[in-house]
Amino acid sequence: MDCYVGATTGALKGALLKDNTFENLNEIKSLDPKSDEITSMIWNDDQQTEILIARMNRDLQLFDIEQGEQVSILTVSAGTGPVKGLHKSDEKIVTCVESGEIQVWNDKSEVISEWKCGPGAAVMRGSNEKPEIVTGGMKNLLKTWNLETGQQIWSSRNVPPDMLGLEIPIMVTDARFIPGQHTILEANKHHEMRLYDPRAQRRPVKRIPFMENPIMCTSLTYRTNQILAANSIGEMGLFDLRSKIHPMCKFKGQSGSIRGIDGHPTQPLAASVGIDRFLRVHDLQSRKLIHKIYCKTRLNRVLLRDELSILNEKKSGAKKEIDEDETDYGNMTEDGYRPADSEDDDVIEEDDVWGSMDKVKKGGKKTDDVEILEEVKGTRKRRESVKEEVMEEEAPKKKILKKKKKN
Amino acid sequence: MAPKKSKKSKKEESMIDFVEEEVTGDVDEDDFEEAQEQEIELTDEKLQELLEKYEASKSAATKTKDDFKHLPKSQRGKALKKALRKDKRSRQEERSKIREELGESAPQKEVPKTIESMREYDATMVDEQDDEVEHDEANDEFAPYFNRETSPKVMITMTPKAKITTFKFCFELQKCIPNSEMFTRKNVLLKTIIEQAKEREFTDLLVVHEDRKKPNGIIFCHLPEGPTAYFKINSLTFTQDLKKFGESTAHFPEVILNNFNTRLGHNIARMLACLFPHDPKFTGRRVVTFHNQRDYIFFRHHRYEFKKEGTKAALLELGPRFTLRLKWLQKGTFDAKWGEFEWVLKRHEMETSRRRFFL
Repeated sequence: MDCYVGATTGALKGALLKDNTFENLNEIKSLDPKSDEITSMIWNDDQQTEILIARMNRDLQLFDIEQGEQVSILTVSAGTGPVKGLHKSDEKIVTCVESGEIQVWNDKSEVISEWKCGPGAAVMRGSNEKPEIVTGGMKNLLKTWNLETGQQIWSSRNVPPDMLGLEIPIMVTDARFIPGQHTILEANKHHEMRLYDPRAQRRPVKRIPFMENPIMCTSLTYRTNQILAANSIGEMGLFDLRSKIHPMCKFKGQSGSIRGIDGHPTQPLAASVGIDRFLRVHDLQSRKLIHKIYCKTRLNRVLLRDELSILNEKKSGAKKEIDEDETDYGNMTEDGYRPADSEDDDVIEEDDVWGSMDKVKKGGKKTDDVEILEEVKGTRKRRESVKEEVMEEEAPKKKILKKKKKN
Repeated sequence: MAPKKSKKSKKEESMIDFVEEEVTGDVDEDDFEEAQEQEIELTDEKLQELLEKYEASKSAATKTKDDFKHLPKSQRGKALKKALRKDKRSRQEERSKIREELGESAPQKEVPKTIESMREYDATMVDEQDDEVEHDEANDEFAPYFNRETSPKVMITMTPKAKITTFKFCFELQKCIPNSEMFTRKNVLLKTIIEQAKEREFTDLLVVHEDRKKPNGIIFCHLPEGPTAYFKINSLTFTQDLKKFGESTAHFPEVILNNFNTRLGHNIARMLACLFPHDPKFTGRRVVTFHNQRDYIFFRHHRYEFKKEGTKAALLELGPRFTLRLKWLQKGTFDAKWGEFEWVLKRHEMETSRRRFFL
């Protein structure tokens, strides 16, 4: 199974992308959507052998993938409303219900600590790097909490009133930590995403608008700076958190609201599900729909496994593509975003260029030009200018001569 | 035209069956052998020839536009069309003659290639023995109606400051749908109307939208939990404008829902069925039809009458005629700004093929 999908009827489905088929992993006829609807779903461990499922009646269940067995482990007691967020860290399970009660459970299903984050919670997500969680919801500002003490670390502030001086209502639909950047991403019903930097300020450092309908969910992708977001009429977009052009691209194919997206951590793949009853897998590089599976019921949540059946044949090709792209990007390395070189480096390199130019003058041909290219590894602009000169072959020599004279 | 054609073909088929039965029933054993011999003769000599002839008649030469060069330009097109029609007819007659000669061994009649018969494959086509869909439908918002827990009560309203044609349309709707009440909108917000309707235990809300003083859209909102659908209204004809029309009665009508085959179509059909009460009064002989053809839903309202001991039926149209086209289906009650849409018609993204249909 490559993909695990939670449906509104309470069915848990496993989809096999290779064959474009799906399979129900529990008995359907005994399900009652009013109590069994899957509201949250996360991996229980890093090896991805168990899934933690929260149902509408606030039961938490553990699904073992290999055995295909489902075990009830606990029932959330505090507050009212369905479970809106799950997080697992160091054998501890964190739950958040709609009325705002956050509870931390240990592995013996006992409550360790409990606190409130305010009514109308819509989302609770944890961080992989530090013991923190982020919460938000309707009329409930984005806040981060320390998991150990239950203390509030940081809270956001609403954006300034609009041009008429009216307050903008708070309608958070999704929030998540961006790994490696100390920033938090929020999606809301005002069809925009807000990027917060808790180190800098309480108001967003960046606002990213997207189409005209409420954004329902977001997801991380294989690149640290790129995220996916989808809205209530099934428009999904890929965004770069650094660029000013939004979105980078839109993905086609969906016809109804998207409830869940899951991006693959290393491959350019993302699975999305929604109430149009389809599971779709997109390729983020070619931007094409590669799999589309009809799952018969409205779908809420999706989990994409790291090891996919479709990857084996594809692996080598996909990897090459990434490399090409990486070189094209310049500042993008495997570790993440590398800041542009400082001006001092540029100056030194400029000197190098002029040093190597002499060789050209002496009668060196193409090979020398290539050497120049290799030596110059500065910013993208500079590289391009050199490339152009190489392209022209004859012309650059004259130019260089002129420049030399000026010097 | 399409339904007429299908009727014709059906008739022909039934005729053929009838003849066959007669032949097989009356033939004695000896005669039967003779007949068989005759048939063998046919297969040996003539059959191949006839079949070839049959195939040839399909691709017989027709008139082309070069044959009408002698006519003035303005008449060529018309003449060509007429000639082509004549050619087609003659080819058909030729083939039917050959079919008669061939008898049983005639090749199968070809099914006309229409846009619908060449429809693109849709994965969501509902299979009748699908447990999962059945389970899904048994638990959806319309289940209380189909479990006979609720009986429909419909509220009809319109845009604020509606003009006379919209009122007329609402009256006509009220006539078709039993147990429905009409209210003027009076500038009340739709969301407050929904709240009030829920309090008064209405099960459905219809809101007629108008543009240029004519109804152009209709919102169906199922209460209390939704869903909400928006339809565009096309080619509306009022009862008074029909050539021949009858007066509607108060009997509960029968409802016919045709061609709603996909999962989305099923939902829409269930939604439309929810407007009408459970047990139709067959004495009233009133029928309301929602016929889906190429995603356009045709609404018709008739009274039928049996003739000649139930072999034929005559129809009398009762009232209005219009066509609906689904624009969006939203989960929950009406909330166009913040709501979640289950299906939205995205015109340039989805309508890339003429043979793709969604209902």
